[in-house]
Amino acid sequence: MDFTQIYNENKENVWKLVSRYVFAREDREDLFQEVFLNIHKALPRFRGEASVSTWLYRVTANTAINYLKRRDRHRRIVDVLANLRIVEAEEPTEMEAGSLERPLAKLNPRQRMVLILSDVEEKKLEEISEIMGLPVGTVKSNLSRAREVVKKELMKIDRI
Amino acid sequence: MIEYNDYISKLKGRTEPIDYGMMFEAIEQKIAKQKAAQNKVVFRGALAGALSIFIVGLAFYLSYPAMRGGNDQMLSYIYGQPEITDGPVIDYVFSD
Repeated sequence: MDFTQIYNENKENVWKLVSRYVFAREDREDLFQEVFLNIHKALPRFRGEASVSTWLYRVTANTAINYLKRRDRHRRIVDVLANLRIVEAEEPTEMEAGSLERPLAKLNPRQRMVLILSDVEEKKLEEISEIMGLPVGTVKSNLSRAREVVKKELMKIDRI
Repeated sequence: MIEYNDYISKLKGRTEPIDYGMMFEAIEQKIAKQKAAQNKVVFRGALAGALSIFIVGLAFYLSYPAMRGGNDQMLSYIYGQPEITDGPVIDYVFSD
C-alpha cells in the first residue's frame, strides 16, 4: 500500500476526527501531521489483520491520546514554572476558551476519544473496542462517565 | 439550556477548511528529516564499529610477538652464545 494513496483517501476523515478532538488551530495541524507521520512509520508493519480503516482509526486515536497527554503534561510544567515566576504563563487560545471545548476539557484523553468515536463519529462499541484495544465493558464505562461529565458541564455553561 | 444532542451536533458540524497539499508537503519534509536523522545514527554506528574493530586489530597486532614468545627467542640468543674461556681479554684480566 502506498503512503500517498493512504493520505489522499483518508486525509478528510483524519482531519475531521482531529478537529473534533483538539480545538486550537496549531494543535490540530500538529496532530494531523503527527498522525500521518505515525502512519508512515507503522505502514511497513501493517499486515492486514484489521481493515485499513480500523487500523487508521487506531493509529489516529493512539496518536491523538498521546498528543493530548503530552500537551497537558507540558502545560502543567509551564503552570508550575509560571507560579514560581520562572516563565510567563501561556495564554489560552481563542478556541479553547470557547464553550465547545470546555466540556471536553473536563474529560481525560481516553474518555474524550471514546465519546467522540461513539457519539460524533457514530462508531459501534465493538468497533471502538477494536480501535482502542480496550474491552467493550471498559469502553461502555468510559462512555457513560464521559457523557455524564459533559452533561454536567453543559448545565454549568448554561448557568453562566 | 444547551442540550447534549445539540452539543454533539455542533461538534459534528465542526470542520474547517485546510490546505491538504501544504500539509502533505510539511509531512514529507518531516519524513525526510526523520530519515536523515536515522541515516546519521546508522552511519555513526557503522563508524564506531569499524573504529573498534581497527583498535582491537591494532592491539592484537602489537601484542602478537609477545604472545608468540619473541622475548624468549631474544634471551635464548643472548644466553645461547658460546662461553669465552680463553683469549687475549681473559689473559689480560687474569694476569697480575
